[in-house]
Amino acid sequence: MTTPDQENELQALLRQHAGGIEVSGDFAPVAIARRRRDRRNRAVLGAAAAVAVIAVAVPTVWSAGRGTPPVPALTTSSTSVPSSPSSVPTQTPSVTTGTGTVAPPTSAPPLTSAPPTATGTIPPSGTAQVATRGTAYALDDTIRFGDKVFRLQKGTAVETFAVLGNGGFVVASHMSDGPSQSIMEILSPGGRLVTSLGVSGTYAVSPDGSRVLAKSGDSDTVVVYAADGSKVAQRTDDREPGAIVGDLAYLTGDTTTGSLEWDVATGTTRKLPAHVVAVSPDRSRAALQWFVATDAMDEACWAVVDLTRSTFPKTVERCGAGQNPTMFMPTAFSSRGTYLVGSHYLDGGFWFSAGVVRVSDGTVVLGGTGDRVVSGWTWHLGDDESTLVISRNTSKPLTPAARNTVQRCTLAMDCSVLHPEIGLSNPSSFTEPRYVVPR
Amino acid sequence: MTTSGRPHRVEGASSHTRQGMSVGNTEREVDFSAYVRARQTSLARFAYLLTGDPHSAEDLVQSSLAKVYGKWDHISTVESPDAYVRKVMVNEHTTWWRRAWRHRERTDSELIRVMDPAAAPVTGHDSELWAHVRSLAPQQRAAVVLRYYEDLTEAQTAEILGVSVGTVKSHTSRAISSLRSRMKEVTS
Repeated sequence: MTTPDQENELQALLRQHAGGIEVSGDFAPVAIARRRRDRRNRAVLGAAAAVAVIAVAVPTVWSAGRGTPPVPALTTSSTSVPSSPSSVPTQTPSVTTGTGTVAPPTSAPPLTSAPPTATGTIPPSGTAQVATRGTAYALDDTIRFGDKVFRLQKGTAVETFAVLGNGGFVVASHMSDGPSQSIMEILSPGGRLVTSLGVSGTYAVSPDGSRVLAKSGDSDTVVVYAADGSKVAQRTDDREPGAIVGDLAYLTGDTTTGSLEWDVATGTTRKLPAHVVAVSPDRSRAALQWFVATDAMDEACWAVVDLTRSTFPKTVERCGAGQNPTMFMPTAFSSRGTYLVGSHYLDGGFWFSAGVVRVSDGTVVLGGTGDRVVSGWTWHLGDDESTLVISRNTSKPLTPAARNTVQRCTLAMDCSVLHPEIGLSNPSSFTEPRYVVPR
Repeated sequence: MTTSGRPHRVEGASSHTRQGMSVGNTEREVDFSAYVRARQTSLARFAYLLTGDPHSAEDLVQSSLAKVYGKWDHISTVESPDAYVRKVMVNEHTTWWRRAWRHRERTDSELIRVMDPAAAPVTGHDSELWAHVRSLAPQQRAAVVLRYYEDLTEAQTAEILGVSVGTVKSHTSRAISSLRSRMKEVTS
C-alpha cells in the first residue's frame, strides 16, 4: 500500500466513524449551565484556597527562619512521569521525581555496545574524543563522531538531537517499527542514558550546551536540566519551551497567555510578547513566529523584537504574501545573531525547505521557492555563520524522497559532500531520513 | 464535517457581537446558542475522533463549550470562531491526558449517539486501523484528525495545536509510517 493509499484510507475511515455520530439534543443550554456551575465552584475553591495559603504560610515562614536555602524552582504540583513503554529505544528511565524534588543523574547501563569500527583509531591517552556540533551526526540507529559509533537500540529512528557542552546529547527518537510516540533523553558523552525527559514533548538547548529546557507532552511542567542530566529547576506552566540562554528560559505562549522569560536561578519572571520561538545568544533580541488568523490562515509572519527595551519594539517584521512570500518560519538565531535559521513553508509531505534570513533587514539569504528550494530534514548554521550543514534530500524529483546525504554548503549553496549519499527504503512522501545532523 | 477547511460564520448570529459591542447576557446567550446549534454536530464528530468514545466526546464538547461561552464576547468577534473552538477542544483534551487524576464529568444526558456507519460494514482491517488511530497520543491524534478529517493545512493545524509546522509534519508522518507497519503485520 502506498502512502497516498494510506492517507486516503485513513481519511475514509475517519469520515466513516465521524459520520456515525449524531447529536440528539441541544448542547447550548448544557454548556451555559456548566459554565455557571464551574464559576460557582471556582468561587468556592478560591475561598478554600485562601484559607489553605494562610495555613501553608506558617510552616513556610518557620522554615525560612531556620535558614533553609531558597529553592529556585517553583513547584506547585507533583508530576508523575509514567514509565516508558518497553519498546522505547533505550533503558526505561529510573528517575522518579516524586513530589518535585530534584533527582540526581542516574547511572544507567550502557546502550548496546558499539562494535569496534574496523578502521577506528584509538585516540591518544588523555585526549578522549568528545562530540561537537560540527562533528556529530546520526545515521539510522547510531550516533557518530570521529571514529566513535554509539549504537542505540536496534530500530531507533532519531528525529532530532543536539550536542551538549560536555559532549553529551539530547536525543528525540522513536522506534521505526513500534509506537509512533517519540521520547526525549539526555545521554552522557559516552552514550549512556542519563535522564529521560518525557514523551511527545519539545526541548531547547542553550547556545553553550550547558542547559536543556524540556517539557514532556504528558506533563504541564517545564523543566531545566544541566548537561549532566541533573534537574536545575522546574515550573508548572501551560506554555511550551521556546529557548534557553544561560539561566534565562523562554517559554512560548499564544496571544492569550503571552510568552515568558524565566530566570531559573532566582525564579523571577518577565512577560514577553506572544510567539517567542528563538532568542539571540546575547539575549538582546527575540524572534517571533505566528500565523495570521484569517479564514484561510495561510499567512505566515515573523518578527524580531528588542528585548533590552521594556516595550519590546519590533526591529523587523515580515508578514503575509507580500512581505513573506516563502512563508519563512524561524527556529534559531545564528551564533553571533546575524541570521535567523528556519524553514520556508511547504504544506504536506515530510521534508523541509531550509531557510536563512538576515536579521537586520529580513532579506532571504538561503532557500525559497521553485529553483531556490533547499530540501532536507535537519540542518544548522555553523559557528562561522557562513556554513550550512544539512541532511539533504538529493532525490530527483524531490518527492518521493529516495536519496539522502549530508552536505556542507555556503550561503550561496556551493556544496560539498560530508557523508555519502544513501538510499531510503520505501520512498514516499512521508519517508524519514537516515542522516540527522544536530541542531 | 468541514470539508473545505474554511471555517465560516454562522448565519443569523448577532451583528452586535461581531462588532465587539458589549451585550447583555440574554443577547449573548441567543448568539452563542445559535452558533452551537449550527455547529454542534460537527463539533461532536470532531470530539469523537479525538476521544474515541461517545461519553468522553460529550464531556469534551460540554466542557469546551462552557469555556467558549465564558469568552463568547471576544470569540464571536474573531474571524474564525470554529478554529478557536477547535483549539479549546484540543487543549482541553490534552489537559485531560496530562492530568490523569482529573475527575471527568459523568455525562448522563446522552446528547451524542453512535449510529451504525451508513457506509460499508466495518471490517477487521478497519477495526485495526481505528484501534491504531485511538492508540495515538492525544496531540498526534489531533494532528491526524485536523489534517485528514478537517482537511486543514499544516499551518492551520499548527496554529490550532500551538506547535510548529515541523511538529505537525512529524506527527502525521510517524502516524502514517506506523500505520503502514501495523497494516503490514495485519496483512501478513
